[in-house]
Amino acid sequence: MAALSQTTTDRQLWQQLKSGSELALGKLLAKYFNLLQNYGFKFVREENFVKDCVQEVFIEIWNRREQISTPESVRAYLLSCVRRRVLRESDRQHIIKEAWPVDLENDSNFVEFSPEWSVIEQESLAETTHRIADVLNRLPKRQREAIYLRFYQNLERDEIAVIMGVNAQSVSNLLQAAFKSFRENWVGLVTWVFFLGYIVF
Amino acid sequence: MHPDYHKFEVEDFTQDERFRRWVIQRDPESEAFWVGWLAAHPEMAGKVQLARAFLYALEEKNTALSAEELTSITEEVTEQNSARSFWRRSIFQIAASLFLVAGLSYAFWLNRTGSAGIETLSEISPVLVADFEEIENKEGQPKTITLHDGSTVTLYKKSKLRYPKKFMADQRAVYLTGQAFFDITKNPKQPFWVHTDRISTQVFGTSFMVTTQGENAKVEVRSGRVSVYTRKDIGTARRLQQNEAMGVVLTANQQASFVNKEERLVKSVVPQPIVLQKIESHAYEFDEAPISSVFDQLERTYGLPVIYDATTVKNCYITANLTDESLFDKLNLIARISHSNYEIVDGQIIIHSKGCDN
Repeated sequence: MAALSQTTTDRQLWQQLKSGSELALGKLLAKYFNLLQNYGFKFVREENFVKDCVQEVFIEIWNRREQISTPESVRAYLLSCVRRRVLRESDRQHIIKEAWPVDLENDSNFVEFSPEWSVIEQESLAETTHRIADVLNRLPKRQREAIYLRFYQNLERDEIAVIMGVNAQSVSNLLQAAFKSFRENWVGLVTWVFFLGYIVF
Repeated sequence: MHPDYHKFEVEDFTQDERFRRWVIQRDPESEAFWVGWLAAHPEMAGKVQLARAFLYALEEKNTALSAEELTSITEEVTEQNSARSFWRRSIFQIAASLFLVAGLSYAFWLNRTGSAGIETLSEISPVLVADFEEIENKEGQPKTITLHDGSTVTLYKKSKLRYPKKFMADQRAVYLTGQAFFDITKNPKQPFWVHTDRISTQVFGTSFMVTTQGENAKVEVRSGRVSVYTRKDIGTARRLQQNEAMGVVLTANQQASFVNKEERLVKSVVPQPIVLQKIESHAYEFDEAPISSVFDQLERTYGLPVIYDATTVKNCYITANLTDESLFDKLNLIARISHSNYEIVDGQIIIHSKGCDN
C-alpha cells in the first residue's frame, strides 16, 4: 500500500510540474536528486560530472514538460534518464569510466562497490558493510545492478526491467541468480541465509 | 502507529520508508525513532545491522546535497534558458565571436529561404515540406529546441530551423537559416543532416555550430566527426547516381567555411580551439623538453594534427610554462623560442623550423 500511495503522489507532482509548477519540480528534485546522483555514480566515478548530468535531466524535463507524458513510475523514469545521459555524455566527452570500457550495447558499465569506510561510524557496521560489498562484487555486473535497483532504489521488478531494458522475467532471473550465488558465497551468517530464503519473486 | 517491526526480516527493513529515511536520507527524526526502538528490541539488532550494512554497501558513498543546495539547483533549472550550460561548456565564447562577423542583412537571407525554398526543400527531404515544424528565433536570447530523437538545437537570434514532425527512418534532416549549435544524439543507422542553402552537414552523433550568412556558411565542430558537402556537389552526385559526393571531413576544433564566390569549402581551425583531453596539472610546464614532445602533446590536447619535420627540430628544447595560454598563444610562444613559425593548412598545424643547431 505504501508503494502505491507513493506512486500516486509522484504522478500528481508530475502533473503539477507539467502545468508549470516550480513547487512540484522542487519537490521531485528534493526527493530524487540524491538517489539519482548515487545511481549515476555507479557508472562514472566523477561527482561533478554526474551532478551535471542529473541537473541536465531535470532541465530537459522542465523545458519539455508540456510534451512529456506522465510516466507510469516517475522514479523509474528518472533513473533511466540519468542512466542514459551519464552513459551517453561520458562516451561523448571521452570520460573514462571506472574499470569498464564504454559499451552502450551491453550496458556493462556497472562498477564494483567500494563503500567509504570513513563515513560509517560504527566499526562492526563498517566490517559487515565491507563483507557484503565483497560478496556483491563477485556477482556479474548485471546482477549487481539489478540488486542495487531492487534494494537501494527500492524498485519493483517491472520498473527495473524498464531501466535495464530487459523484460520482467529476465529481472527475476537476474535476481534469483544473484541470490543463489550470494547464498553460496555468504557463509556463517544464519540470519542472512534466512533473509535470502525469504525473498521469493 | 507503525508496522510490527519486531516481525520484520532484513528485506522488510530495507524497504520500509521510515528505515530508509534513517539510513539513506540521514533524517535525524527517523534516527531518533530507530535508536529508541532498538533499545526496546535488542534482539532485533542483528537484522537491523545487516539491513543497514546492505544499504551502505550498495550506496558506497554519501554524495547527498543539502536542502539548500537542492533549492538552488531547482532555481537554476527553472531560470536557465540554456545560456548557463553553454557558458559552462565554453562554447558560448565561440558563439560570441561569431556574432561579430555579421554581414548581410537579416531580411535578405530570410527571404532567400522563402523563395529558394520549396523546391530545394522537397528535394532534400519530402517530410520537410509535407509535415514540418518551423521555429524562428527573433529575440536576442538563444533558444533551445529538443527534437524528438533527444538531440538539442540552440537557435541563435534571427535564425530559423525547420524540422519534420517525424524523421524518416533512414535519416534525420533539418533545414537551417542563420546560426545554431547542434548537439546530436548518436544513431549510426539514422544519420543527422543539417541542410542550409548552399551546404549540407552530415553527422552521426556530435556537437557543432552551423552559421549561414547570406550565401556564405560555416560549420565549427566541438566534438565528434562531421562531413560537410556543398549542396551543388550533392546535387551533382544525385544526378549522376553516385553514392558519394566530394565532402570535407571535420573533427573537433576544425571548421569548414563555404565562400560562395569560390563555390568551395575551406577547411581550417576554429578561432578558439578548446581543450579536448583533460590536462594534468603540470603537463604544460616544460623544463628542457624536446620540442617534438611538446608538439605531440598539443596534438593530443586539441585533437588537431601537428605536422613538423622531426629531424630538423631534434635539437630544439623548450623551457616554459604554457599552462594558461590558448592554443594560438602557445604556438606563438613556441615559435618565438624555437625560431620557427607555423601556419594552418587544411585544419592542420604545420610547423616550419630552421632547426636549433646553433
